[in-house]
Amino acid sequence: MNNCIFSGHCLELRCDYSCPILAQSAHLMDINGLQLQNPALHATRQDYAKYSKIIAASEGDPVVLIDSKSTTHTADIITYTAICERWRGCQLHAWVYNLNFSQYVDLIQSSWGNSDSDKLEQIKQFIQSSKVLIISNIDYVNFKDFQSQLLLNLLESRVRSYDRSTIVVSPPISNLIGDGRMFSLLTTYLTKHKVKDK
Amino acid sequence: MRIYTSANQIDITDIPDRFAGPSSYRAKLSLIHTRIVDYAQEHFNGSKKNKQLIVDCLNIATYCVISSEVPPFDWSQNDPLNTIPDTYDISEIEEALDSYCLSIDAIKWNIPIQGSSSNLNSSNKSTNIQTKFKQSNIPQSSKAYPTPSSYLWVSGPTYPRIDVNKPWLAFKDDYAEYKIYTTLPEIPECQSDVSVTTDMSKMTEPEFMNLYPNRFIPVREPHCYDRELDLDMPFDEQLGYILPIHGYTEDQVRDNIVKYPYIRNIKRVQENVTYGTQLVSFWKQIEIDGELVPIEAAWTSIPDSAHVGNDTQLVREYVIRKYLLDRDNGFQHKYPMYGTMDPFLVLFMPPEEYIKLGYDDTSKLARDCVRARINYNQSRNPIIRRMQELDE
Repeated sequence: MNNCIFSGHCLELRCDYSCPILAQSAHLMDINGLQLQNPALHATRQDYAKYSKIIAASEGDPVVLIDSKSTTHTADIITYTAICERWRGCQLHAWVYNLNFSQYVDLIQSSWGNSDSDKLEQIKQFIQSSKVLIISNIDYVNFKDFQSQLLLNLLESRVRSYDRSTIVVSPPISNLIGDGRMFSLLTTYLTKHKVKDK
Repeated sequence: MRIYTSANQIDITDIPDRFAGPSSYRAKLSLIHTRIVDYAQEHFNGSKKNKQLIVDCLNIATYCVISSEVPPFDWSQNDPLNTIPDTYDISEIEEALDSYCLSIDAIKWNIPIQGSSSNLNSSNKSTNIQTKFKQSNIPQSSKAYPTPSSYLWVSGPTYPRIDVNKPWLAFKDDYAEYKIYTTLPEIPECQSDVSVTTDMSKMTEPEFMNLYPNRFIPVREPHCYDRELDLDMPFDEQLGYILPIHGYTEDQVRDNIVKYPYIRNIKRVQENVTYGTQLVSFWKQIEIDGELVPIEAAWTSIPDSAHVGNDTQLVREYVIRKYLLDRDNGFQHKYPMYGTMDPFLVLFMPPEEYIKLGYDDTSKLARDCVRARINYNQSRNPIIRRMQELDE
């Protein structure tokens, strides 16, 4: 198969589109927009081990991972790490979801005055159901009170759910763009939950 | 970043139920933590050394569960604190556990002191353990962490890596297009990295030797290491039970265990009228006089069954090991296993330990391991088999 990450290690009797391993892993790769060409698929063993620990450490209490180089690439590696660990038994749910926060904000704002688009409904479902939620692209958001409150609410909704991990991949917090009282609350929250990228 | 710290303590009695380990391991962690905490409550004397011993014990248990290892066979459930295995370095365990690591300050010691009723000589024991950890009798290489058991997996690495610019095999049939991309790293860094695309000729001597784990990793069925089963058969400290197999000496079986420590997921091809070609568990049927007989029907008539008993794991071990011994002695089976299974598919201890057992050419063993894994994968890979079918 062209889109199977396990083809070199496969020990199944037959290779067809009905294989549960392919269906479950490819589904999670697909909803997270990870193609086989993505550099996240050839990161180092140490990277996967490091992010695996961060995913586990964020169960029940969201963590903020500061990355000064490429937040998108880091979010992709975390997503792939989580997919490799959680694809088994995902039953084609979005158990791992990489939320593009700037796109999410745009979709919400464009839905004002209209009903929610199908895509927005789907994203909301993915956020609700995901066991591992990666929040990326916050560096492309101008945080006013609404945007700050949206992110704070989202993070707060996942506190104390010990079977769910939440990781925000952020640039250095001083590089975030925004203003207002909610923004200062947000930056305080993010700073408090910051983890060291060892 | 540790989950439990002096600012976020956990009650000692809450550890079995509320310890925030990875969700997929919580049930196992709860079970093993319960035993330790129950025992600790009965033998708690309030001293710092006593607390440190309990914390070390909990951390080792967590490490064993998270790294999917069988709890060491010399660890008695009835006396967990006094029989902590001496094959671990506490500082390495703490580093490996990272956020899940417990410390004395992270625990609320809200249990009564048992006073003189304790039979735990904590001061002597703790010092003894610290010394033992540093003087581990299992040789450690220069690798920083104990080799995870996942490095030995036969089914591939947890995080598969591929190079889409290098298709290793590509073809089409009437239904679909098939591709196998070259797996990364091209030079395996651990045994589980070996795939159908691995090219042995590109590997150097140190790269072969790097595939050995830096510690002993139990890979047989858990019950094969469970001394408390008290079975009527020889027990080896490192290899576990040596099953009696009619027609073979103890040394032959021991040699077979070293060559084939991992014998799980062995299948046999079966043609079924309703479902067509199927893979079925190898051990559920045994070949007797050229006929396949269900193991339930045949087991009591096998003389060795009286020693082995009815434990599923040991029966499975017996059926497959007997098959391998027979096969290696030239017996032609009418119903062979599916795919290849060459010796040293899994190297489960450091080279020094193999030398102690008389396997001196460790470089050859490492090559055998890579060759066996390539054969194992290629003989089972459905895409390669499909291409062979088309060629025929």
